[in-house]
Amino acid sequence: MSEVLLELDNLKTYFTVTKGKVKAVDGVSFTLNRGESLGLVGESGCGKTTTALSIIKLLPKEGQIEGGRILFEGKDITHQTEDELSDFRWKQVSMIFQGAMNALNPVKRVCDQVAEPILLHEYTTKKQAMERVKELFELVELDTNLMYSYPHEFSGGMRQRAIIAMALACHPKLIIGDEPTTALDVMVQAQILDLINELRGKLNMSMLMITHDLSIISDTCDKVAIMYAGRIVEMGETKEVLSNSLHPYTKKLISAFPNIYAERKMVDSIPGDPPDLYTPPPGCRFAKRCHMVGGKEVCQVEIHPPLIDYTGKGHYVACHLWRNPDEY
Amino acid sequence: MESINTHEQLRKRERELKRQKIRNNLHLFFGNKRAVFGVLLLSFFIIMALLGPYFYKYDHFSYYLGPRVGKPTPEFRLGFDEMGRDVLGTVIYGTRASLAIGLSVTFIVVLIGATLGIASGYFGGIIDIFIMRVTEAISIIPTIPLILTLSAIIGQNFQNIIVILGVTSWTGTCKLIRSQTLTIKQRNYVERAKAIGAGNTYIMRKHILPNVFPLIFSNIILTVQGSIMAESTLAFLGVGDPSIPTWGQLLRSAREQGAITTGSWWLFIPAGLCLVALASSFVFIGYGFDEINNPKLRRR
Amino acid sequence: MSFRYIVNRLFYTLFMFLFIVSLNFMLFRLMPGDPLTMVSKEISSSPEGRATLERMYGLDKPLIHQYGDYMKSMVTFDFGTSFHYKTPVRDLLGDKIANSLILGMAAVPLGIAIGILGGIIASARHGKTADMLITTSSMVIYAVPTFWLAMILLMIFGVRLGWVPINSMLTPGASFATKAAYLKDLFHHMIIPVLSYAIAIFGSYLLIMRGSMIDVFSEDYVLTARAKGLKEKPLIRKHVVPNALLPISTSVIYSLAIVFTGAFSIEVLFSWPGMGKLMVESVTRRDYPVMQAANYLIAVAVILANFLMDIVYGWLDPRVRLG
Repeated sequence: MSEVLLELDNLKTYFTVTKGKVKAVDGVSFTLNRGESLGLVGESGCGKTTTALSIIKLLPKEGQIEGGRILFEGKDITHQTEDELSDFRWKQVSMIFQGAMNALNPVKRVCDQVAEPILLHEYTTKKQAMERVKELFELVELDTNLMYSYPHEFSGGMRQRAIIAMALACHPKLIIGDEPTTALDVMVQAQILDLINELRGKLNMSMLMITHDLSIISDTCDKVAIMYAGRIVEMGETKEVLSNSLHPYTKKLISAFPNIYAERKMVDSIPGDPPDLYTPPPGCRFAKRCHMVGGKEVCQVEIHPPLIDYTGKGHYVACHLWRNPDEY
Repeated sequence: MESINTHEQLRKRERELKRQKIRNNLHLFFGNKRAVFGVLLLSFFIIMALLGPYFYKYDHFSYYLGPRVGKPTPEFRLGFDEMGRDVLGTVIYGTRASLAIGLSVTFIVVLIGATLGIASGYFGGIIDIFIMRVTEAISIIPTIPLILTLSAIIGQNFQNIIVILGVTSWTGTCKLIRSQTLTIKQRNYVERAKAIGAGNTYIMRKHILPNVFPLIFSNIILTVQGSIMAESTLAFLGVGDPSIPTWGQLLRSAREQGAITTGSWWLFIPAGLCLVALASSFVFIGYGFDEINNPKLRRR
Repeated sequence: MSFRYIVNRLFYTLFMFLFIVSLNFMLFRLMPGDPLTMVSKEISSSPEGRATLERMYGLDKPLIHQYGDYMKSMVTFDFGTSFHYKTPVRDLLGDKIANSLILGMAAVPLGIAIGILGGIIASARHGKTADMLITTSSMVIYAVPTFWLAMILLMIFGVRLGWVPINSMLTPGASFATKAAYLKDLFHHMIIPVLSYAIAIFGSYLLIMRGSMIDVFSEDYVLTARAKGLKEKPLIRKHVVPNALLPISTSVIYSLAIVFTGAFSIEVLFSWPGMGKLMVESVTRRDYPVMQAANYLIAVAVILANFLMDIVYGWLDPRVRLG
């Protein structure tokens, strides 16, 4: 029986700007079990990073959680104080940020940066912490002789390994990866993903993987949630969602992704831009770009379709027209 | 979105985007209280400089209206200076001189800085190395000793002071313009112009120059402020033209009159306050523009 | 730090030295009028006297020889005789430099420290009322001429309240029985000049430091450090400040290197017998040997400072140190 580690319940994170509020995350719900990995996929600006930053409460100053709950091991963490939060961060949930190049402080030695959370959260001496750093370096297959170097002496892949070592430092229960491999070239990307997979199996950690790259999801995630304009539009087992997608946006996303084995053909693109999240349209947020609508007023006018498990197989979709895949 | 396929449409779209950007920036600028205050303050001084002498009957050139260093009276609210001139009239008149200095020095600075900076950034290579090495070498010479030396060489009349200030303060602007030119050089409209065979001077004048300016605007504004203050310091040190009543000159003569020990506050408080207010107005505006170009500086 | 980096900087330093020192030579040959009339009107009016003076100052030789002599006298710090004081320039400058250093070494580090600290505080409160107050007031202070601020302080504390002497460095004519009495008198005279000098420079440091801090705050490694659970204070101390100090470190070194040139307007206002005052007076007196020597010393100082800035920057920033 798997146990729920993280649950997001109708999370709403808005950004206050001069004009009003940008509803970057507008009612996102999902659960993540212990040891499980969930992929959060969507175009840039769809709210996936904001969702992640809401979980560790590191939103920029204009950002505010305006509704919903975030339950970690059954405890609501949305109203935690700064002190409680600084114990929670990294010890329970650590994060691998996008941009391997800039996530390490250029003027501090790598070992000190990896040791920093250990010294902060665990009552150890500096020497013990350094021992642990050594172990972590071995774990992520980095040369321990390089521990005392500075970040700029590392290649992109090595830096990302160091960042993963840092993320593992305090045995977190959940790791959030925000586009952890985007800045790397393809070969290194594959190595890092293998490493993440291997370590996750070894250490039985949960993982929330944020990316726009569906191939990463199919490699690393048990479950996937597709986000569009601040909402989850489809969610389920990775295989099921990717092979049997129900939401038109997911279908477009999959077909927009070139397959190197398939015949050469024009890559499908989605015309138009995502809606303005300052005044989102009343109905389905995808309706304007959806090829299925074709005169169906229901999509444009009614409320945004709720995320419902119509099939009973744990495959959720938020679409008024999900039953009519033939129209596609 | 309609497709863009003719040159005409492209130009139209570019113009539209530009207009929208200007609107956005104006919105940001006027959302900054400090900057708005700066604009109001500056407008006050500009009006005072342009119209003040017409509306106020005493000027710097009417002598012995009252006793030497006489106290303020109801008619002469800021008293008299050592030649019996009306201090208020002199201060109003001094606004012109101080603004004129600030603007003309900045003109020289921008002229030298833009020419060398754009040439350096646009041509690159040996020209760039040469210009930047010399700029670097000049920029590390402390300004005041250099100005003192130059003023000893070419003399200290009003025009000379402006020229000296201009030729000693362009290095920062030049470096900034060079770095902005380097980024603008990469943009596609410059590539496009090159592809259709536009000459170097044409590209620099028509494409680089107009696009560099918005980015160095805050630097230009702060140069005006810096020049006004540098002039006042020089005047105070006795380097300057005593016949032109800049505020710095008023402060120098106040000190020479012993105004501090005799407590003749009207000789140096009003001129100093005006100097501070005018200089701060430029600082407020300059930093206001800085926040537009550097979004990080804005309130998060 | 790599050997090549240092050699590279050394060559550049040499280039700058030659450039600036030659500029100093040329500027003084471009002077209009006859500098010799400044030495002595009577002697230079007779042809024989002129010839003597020209020989004395080496002006009868071809320009290239003059340049050689100039370089030789500059590198040996033998600056000749002051037109005005008729004493060796070297001895004259020694005392003045010491006096300027007394004033500057008290004021400049103080001003820089206040500025950097204020910048840190303002940036930590970015966008809040405290930031608004600190930033606006330092902008105003940035716009206040040093000497005017000093005049106001002098009027309040020196004239109205009579707490401090109104000028010079020591009580004129006083002789001091003990070292303590001397220091006390000096300290008494220093308060207002040091205070106004320090206030005058802190504004710009504050604004630069604030901007630099705000830049660093938006870096990814700061977000990472926050996610690690670092609280705001240790975060600022360990991650933001060290990086924000990098760009400012060079201007700190530069300011300290040119302290000996004196605070011109403050020295003039307070009749402080330092380099700044001497240089200003030398302009009016056309005392070229003094000006030329002072310019040379300044050039040497800034060039050394520039070299030092490169080295220190390299030492502070591992990217340069090891790159």
